[in-house]
Amino acid sequence: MKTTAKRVVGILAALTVVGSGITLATPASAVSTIIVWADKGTIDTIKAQVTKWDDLKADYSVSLVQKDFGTVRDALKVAVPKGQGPDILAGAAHDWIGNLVAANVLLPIDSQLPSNFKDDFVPGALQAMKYKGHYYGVPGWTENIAMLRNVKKAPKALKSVNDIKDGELGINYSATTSDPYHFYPFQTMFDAPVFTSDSKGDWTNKVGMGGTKGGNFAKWLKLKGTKFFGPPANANILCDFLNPANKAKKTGLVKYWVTGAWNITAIEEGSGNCKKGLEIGTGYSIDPFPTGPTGLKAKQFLGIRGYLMVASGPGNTTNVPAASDLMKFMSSESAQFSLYDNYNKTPANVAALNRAKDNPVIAGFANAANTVPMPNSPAMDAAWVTWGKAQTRIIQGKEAKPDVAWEAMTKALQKTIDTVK
Amino acid sequence: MAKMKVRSWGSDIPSLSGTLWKLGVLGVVDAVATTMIMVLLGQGRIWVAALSIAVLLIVNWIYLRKGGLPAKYLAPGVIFLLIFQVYVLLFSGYTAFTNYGSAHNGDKSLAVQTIQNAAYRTIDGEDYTVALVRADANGNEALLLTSNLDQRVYVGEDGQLPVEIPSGNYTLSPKCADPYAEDVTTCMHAAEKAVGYSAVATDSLSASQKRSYTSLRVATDLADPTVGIKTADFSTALQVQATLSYDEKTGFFTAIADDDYGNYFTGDVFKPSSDGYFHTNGDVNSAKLDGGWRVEVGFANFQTIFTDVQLRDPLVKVITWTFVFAFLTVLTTFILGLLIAFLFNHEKLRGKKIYRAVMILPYAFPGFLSAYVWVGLLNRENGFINTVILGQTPGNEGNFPWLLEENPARLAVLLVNLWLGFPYMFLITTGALQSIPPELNEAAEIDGATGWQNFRLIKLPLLLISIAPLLISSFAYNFNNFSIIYLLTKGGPNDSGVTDYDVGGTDILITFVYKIAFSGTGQNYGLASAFSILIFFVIATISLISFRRTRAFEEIL
Repeated sequence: MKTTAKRVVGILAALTVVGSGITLATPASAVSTIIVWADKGTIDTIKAQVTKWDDLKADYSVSLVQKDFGTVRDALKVAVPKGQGPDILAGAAHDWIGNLVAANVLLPIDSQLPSNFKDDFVPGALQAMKYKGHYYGVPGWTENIAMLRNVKKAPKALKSVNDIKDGELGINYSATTSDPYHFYPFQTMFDAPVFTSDSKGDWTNKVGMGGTKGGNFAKWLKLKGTKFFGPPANANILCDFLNPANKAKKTGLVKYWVTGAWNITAIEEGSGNCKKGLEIGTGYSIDPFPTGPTGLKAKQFLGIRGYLMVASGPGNTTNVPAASDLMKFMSSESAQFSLYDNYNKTPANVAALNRAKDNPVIAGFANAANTVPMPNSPAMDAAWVTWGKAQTRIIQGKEAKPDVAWEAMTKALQKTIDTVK
Repeated sequence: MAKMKVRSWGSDIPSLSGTLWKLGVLGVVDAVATTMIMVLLGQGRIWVAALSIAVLLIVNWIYLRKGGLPAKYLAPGVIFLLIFQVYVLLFSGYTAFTNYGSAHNGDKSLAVQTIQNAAYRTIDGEDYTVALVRADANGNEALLLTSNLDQRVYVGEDGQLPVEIPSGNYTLSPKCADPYAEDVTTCMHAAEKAVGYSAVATDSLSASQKRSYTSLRVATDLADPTVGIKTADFSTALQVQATLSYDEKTGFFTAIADDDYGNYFTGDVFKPSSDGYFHTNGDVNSAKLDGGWRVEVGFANFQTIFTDVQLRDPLVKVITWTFVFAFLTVLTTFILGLLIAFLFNHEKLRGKKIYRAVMILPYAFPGFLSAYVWVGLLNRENGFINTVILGQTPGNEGNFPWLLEENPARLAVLLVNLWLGFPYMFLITTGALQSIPPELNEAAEIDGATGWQNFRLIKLPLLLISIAPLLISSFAYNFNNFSIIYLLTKGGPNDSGVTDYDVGGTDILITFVYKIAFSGTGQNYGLASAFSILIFFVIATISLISFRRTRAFEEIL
């Protein structure tokens, strides 16, 4: 009897705990949550503006979820099919779009974009959000590289790439996969675009950097080699760019640096081992790229960081109108100007960019821009490693016949793209 | 067969505190599990919830009933085994026979939904700022459209042509993208309600109301039901044309308009195909719609492994290196560990304990940390190894390319793994050495054996009896030693030749599989799972053969 009583008590006790579990598990909330995934840098950048929008919308609350920039795409591909994805992916690089569309995770927003909205952005910025005829997001800010020059060491802007002597150029690239993004201006000096374009000016999936022109670029890369471009993975570029030249110690020789706005803070503040930083105008200048060996004008990739509309997956939620509203707010003049004002982002919104142009850094990069939007197809995604591997081998003198190696790379790349497609 | 008294030790009346403890712990488990089940039910995952309920009931039955002591001990282990081993194994096994990956990451309904989401084109022309309204007369849902061109206002109901509202029956108010804009003159102006139509608050709509407004189509041509003015975000309306129609019954997509991008033309029929895409007429070699789903593909992944030309060369290279890496790692760590163990086992050596403690340090240090420290030490231009030990000029790009070229990187991986691995071998051989009776040693000396003979013919065979299984497990461990490779070189350097696959000079099978599954751009979980099954068979075979052969050592005694 005693044990039975104990067991009854025990079951009752367990049931009580179960009961409290049930009450805990019942959520009650009338406010819909808009979930935004972003990397840390983006969250820091957009938080104030998002909060501003949030405060205005009583029925919605925005939740900014921090994700790692490198793996957020993979996380998205896993989450969306389970219906656990966000409503918006913020700070996304526009060249992710093709890959994400192929993975069923993005939602087209064509019907949300009136024509007067489309006119709000710098050329190519909104176009970069378009893939296979559909828009998947709105632009936030733009990034492009330029030729930075130490004014004290090189008082005059470069005219031709031929005027750069060995050791004077700084460019960041990896020993194994190079960095075709940073080398693209040099490649376009040989009229060897990564893909061909169609009549509308849109990128195709046909590799455009083969043939004689690409071969010439490959030969030029080998000719210049690491003497000209410096060693791969060189961590000393910043110091060599900032410090005065010391020929005996072979330091401070770098006069020109191929880089983007992300290094401006380091240049202006200096770093531990280097001299103090430089000021724009008197210390350094942001120049357009010089012309190529044969006089051709260089082009850079325009990278756009933006806000992508995420498909909701099964159990279709209905946050699209609000998410769309938030995205349009983030692309409006005032929001983009504030991102510039507080975080030095180059606005994609024309009106905001014009207001921001009194900032010499923003103006410098805008004036240096002779850009083409970086392709956003899965083909582009597939290209980077193959392209970079060939490039770095040629630069480091590992290919006896650079033009042959380059041609082999373009052929292999085309094959990969065709099978992926 | 009467009831035996064996149960007696389980049927003793338990102490009160023990019972309370049990109930408390069980209560907590029940509470957590119930919360989980409620959440699962909330998400509509009925089957998982049902399974959880069943498991929970079984657990409660096991612990609340009298006796059945073995089950009480085994239950938690078995449950965790099922979740973390058996389920994972079965799932990988199943995945190996599917095309699960980046472009096939969901079920068919997701793909259909994706295609439907994108199955429209916008028609250039007038666009509108929209307000949701309801007709006062009949309660019909309608869109109040203010033209962005000339600010004229129309009202449109589903399937009807828009009707212009005479000015005076509405008022325009500013609608700005930036709700804080101070200067509203440049913002769009739009009507929010009109005489006969009352405004509907967008934010308070239910999900079904929202769906009904987004599917509302104001006709522009009564004869053409594919074209109309629609809104997706309740602030903008554009003229759109549906380009694909989905037939729920047949499961086919039919193109009802040309795609702007040239993907399909009116009349094309797309049928679900065996490769997890909609292809024209179901022919896998013809055009397809973006949006794939996961399908079972039979042995296709295994076929790829054995027949893909792009895969063959890298795979042969990777497999060879995996065996070389695992074998050399075991060999070098064992030899070094053995030598040091012999050295510090010498009776006359003083301060043995201190030496032994020092020798164990690399093992005691977290391996992840050591690996990163080694990456720094092996840096080409400024690393400690190059600049101090090898005396090369700091900052010189001509220094020895540890980690940057294939063979040096392989050497570096082996050296670092030697550093990390020898203390383990040292520990186990020391233990084994001390268990060899000293009489054997003396007997050998009396019989006139030299030191080398003593070692080779007596100590080593005795050692191997106890250590051989550990060597085999060490081999199996290093065969899959993901962390050391990934932390040191990420499988690189990756600059040799051109293949479709991201494969580097120090990639072992498991890092190669990881790259196929998770890194790069085209994740392919199916292929990676097929690989991991093959790896399992390789290791199982090696272990089986080796364990059989180690029995030979036992016959020495």
